[in-house]
Amino acid sequence: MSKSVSVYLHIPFCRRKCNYCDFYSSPTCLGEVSSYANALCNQIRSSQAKGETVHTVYFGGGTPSLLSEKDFSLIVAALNETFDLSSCAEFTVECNPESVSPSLARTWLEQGVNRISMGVQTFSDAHLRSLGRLHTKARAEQAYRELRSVGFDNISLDLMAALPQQTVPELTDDLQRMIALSPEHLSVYLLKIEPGSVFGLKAVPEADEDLQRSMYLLTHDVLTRAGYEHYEISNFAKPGFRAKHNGVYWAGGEYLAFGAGAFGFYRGVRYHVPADTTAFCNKNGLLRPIVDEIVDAEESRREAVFLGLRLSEGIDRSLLPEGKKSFVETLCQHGYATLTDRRFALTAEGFLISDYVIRELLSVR
Amino acid sequence: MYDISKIRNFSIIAHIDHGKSTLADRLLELTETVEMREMEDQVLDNMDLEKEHGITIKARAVKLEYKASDGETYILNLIDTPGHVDFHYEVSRALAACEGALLVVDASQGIEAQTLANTYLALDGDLEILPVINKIDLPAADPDRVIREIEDTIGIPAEEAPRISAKNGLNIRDVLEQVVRDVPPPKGDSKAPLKALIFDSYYDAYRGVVVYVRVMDGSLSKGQRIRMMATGAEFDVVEIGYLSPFGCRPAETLRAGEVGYIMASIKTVSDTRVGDTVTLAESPALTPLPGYKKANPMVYCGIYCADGSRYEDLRDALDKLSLNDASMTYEPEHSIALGFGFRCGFLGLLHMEIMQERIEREFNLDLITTAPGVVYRLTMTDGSIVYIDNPTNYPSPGSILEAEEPIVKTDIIAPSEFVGTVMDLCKERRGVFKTMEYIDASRVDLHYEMPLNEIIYDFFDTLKARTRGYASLDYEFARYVKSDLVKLDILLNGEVVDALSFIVPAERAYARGRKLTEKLKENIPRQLFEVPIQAAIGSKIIARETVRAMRKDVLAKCYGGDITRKKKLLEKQKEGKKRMRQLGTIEVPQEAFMAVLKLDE
Repeated sequence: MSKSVSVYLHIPFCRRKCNYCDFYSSPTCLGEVSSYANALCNQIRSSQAKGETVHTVYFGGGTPSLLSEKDFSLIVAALNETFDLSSCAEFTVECNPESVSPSLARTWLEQGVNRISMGVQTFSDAHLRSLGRLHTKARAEQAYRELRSVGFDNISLDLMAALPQQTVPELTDDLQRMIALSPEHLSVYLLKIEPGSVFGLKAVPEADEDLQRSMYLLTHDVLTRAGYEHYEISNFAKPGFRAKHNGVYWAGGEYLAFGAGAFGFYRGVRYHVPADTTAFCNKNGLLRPIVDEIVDAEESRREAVFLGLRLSEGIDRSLLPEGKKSFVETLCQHGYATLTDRRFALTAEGFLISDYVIRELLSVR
Repeated sequence: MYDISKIRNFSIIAHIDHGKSTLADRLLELTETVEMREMEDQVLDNMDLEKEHGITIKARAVKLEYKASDGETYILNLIDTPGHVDFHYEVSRALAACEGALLVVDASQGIEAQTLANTYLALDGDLEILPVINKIDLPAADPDRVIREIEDTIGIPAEEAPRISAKNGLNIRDVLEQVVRDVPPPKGDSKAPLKALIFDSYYDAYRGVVVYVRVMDGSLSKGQRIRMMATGAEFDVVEIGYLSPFGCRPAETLRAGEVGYIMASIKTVSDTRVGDTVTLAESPALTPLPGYKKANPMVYCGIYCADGSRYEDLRDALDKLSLNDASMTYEPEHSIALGFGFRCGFLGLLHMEIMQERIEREFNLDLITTAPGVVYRLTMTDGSIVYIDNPTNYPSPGSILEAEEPIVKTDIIAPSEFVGTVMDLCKERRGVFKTMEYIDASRVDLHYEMPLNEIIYDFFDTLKARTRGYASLDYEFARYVKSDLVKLDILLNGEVVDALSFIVPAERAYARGRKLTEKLKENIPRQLFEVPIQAAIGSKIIARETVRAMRKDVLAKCYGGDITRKKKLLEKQKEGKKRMRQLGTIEVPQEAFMAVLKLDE
């Protein structure tokens, strides 16, 4: 990663909000999406980072597949006008099975998209309904085939585990179907009940910790045996297919934020664009970004620990704070981590308690 | 204008909440000692903590001037008494300074154990008891029943008792008139050698110790040299005077029968023990006043700072508090689990709780305290006798010939419907039944002898809980009694945690070991590995529980590059964590150290 930045674009529209989601999104109204796309183009063109070489591009949401082919092309044009995308290594678009079509997929491919991330979540129609998803198992499999036939050779699928009432055999079945589709990349999340989500408001309980734990370890076993590397807490990839854009987050790299509710990190400042679609459109994309924090050398070191430990490579052992020797030894002794001459890294068991490990390592006693 | 026949020294005996402080306020108002607008609520209770606990911790006194209906002006010295079981001795000394006592009884609730105990103390001291029926304004008030109860239980006439409402200021003058009429004036000879009874003292940062005395015989003037007869310490009197609600009013001389204060550049209250006799160094009295004894701590616990680096601050706090409270003892100790701290002795559980709270509040220290214990008397095989106040120092069973534990005389007053319940509880706690009296048809006074160890072990709370809050308790040290005792150790991950050891009767060891391991299991969060919790007597394991390893502590998502949010979440989780103490490789929350106390058997 030479001197280049990544670009994150947030498309905060959903046809329907999923029951587990508390991300920022608004209900769709087609006219609004178009005016949003225009504002987004204007924001890109006005970027202070104009001229930067772009390493990766990521369209996230919300539902980027709700952008029309025309709007999508306009945004990519704006990106190309403003930045140097000639050495862009990864260009991802997130999509949902119900809103992707062969024609849309072809447009993406023509516009330079080389990676698709599709939210499948589960292959059980019953669970899909309970999650509030609009697609079915059949549609997910069909959408996947369509993407393949259009020519995408780097597809990531999202899966969720520990769904309400989900059993271990059901998860096993989901994993087997995933493997059968053979995507290059897989993200597997344990369902977290967010207070602001529909599940949270209905006080749906999270799965029992023991069950979450066994589901997580099952996922690790099944996917690694199928040839996937468990390279980050929630991410698995065939060799050579790790997510480059998310890799920028974890490595403390820079990324620009475009669109209402997008987060960025540029020149030592973590910031976000206010999550207000209407204001964003009214101001033609020129909302003043909000500074979340300024990352100095010390904080950057702490971030390196906190982000690096998400990865199977772990962190350089020189980053281990003083005075945590016995804690680190205990972790290694009980199989939560490994320590070599150069690296300190968590195992799959360690990933499961990584928040605890990070808190302990970064706490000042 | 000294006239001993116009002096009345009296105190107020009342159960907590029966309105002692409110009545004191009214008396002050009526004698115009305090202007209404100057009056903060309940001037006699001047420590915040006292207000919160609703009790008076340290005795104080006020001098009132009252123009009675006979046209004469009387000096009324109201001596306040501490209202709790732990301060039995201090109460007795405050009463010894008086000739009379108002027995204030709640018209709806009747007499409580505490009140009764103090009333007997007053009767023993030949005080004139004047019953006062308070709270007659309450709908549930039944003054006639309460008057019968007083007559039946205490055996004093109560027909003429003023029926008052201190809250509403009703019939307060009747109380003062009775004091003037019925409390005898002090006897005493101003010409005799000085004998002044110390009934309280406190430390003032600017003036040193201020001693409250009742002059029994003789007189004392500024500039004279005094001697404390028990401690032998001598001082030059810098100032003497009377006590107003707002502090000290200097005077030239204090004479027989009067109540006042002495300042003599005294550095520590331990030189001014309650109950001691002040005399003149030049012409001392031959014998001191009777009844002095050194108040010995009955309950001990280890006190440590949550933050080990603040040990010196803790020492400073204890030094300062002890300036004002000679009954608290403390000496440095070291625990493998908790580091450096102090072994502190208290008169009782409430005394302990109050002092702990004061350290935390007034000195801003977070404390870890070990479970309180009593002092055991051991006769060793070599014939020597040792007293053990710290379970850690309990010798190996082979070297002990005989172990004894302190037994207390216990009075419990409870509604008669709870007699069975109370008896069961006392039996569970190894109580030996002595006698029982019916106060009236509905209430019983039960007398037991019980090991003190059982009383400090969550007894009062349990008693309250099982009698729906109606029972009241009083206890007093009786003697040491032979007991079959064992030391119970707690092991975490195979290591003994010294701060969790305690002494227990052999017959209780198994049950308590089991309960405690269960309780600790609830209190200790999951660690990186399985942690066995064991209870052991010597090398014999008698109970075991296991804290399972941590299951899951991760939020897998990274929120679309929102690193700050993720960081904040981690911060929040950190804040939500309980205060922990690292014991070797195990984190133990501070509550665990008190878990020993809260075992419902």
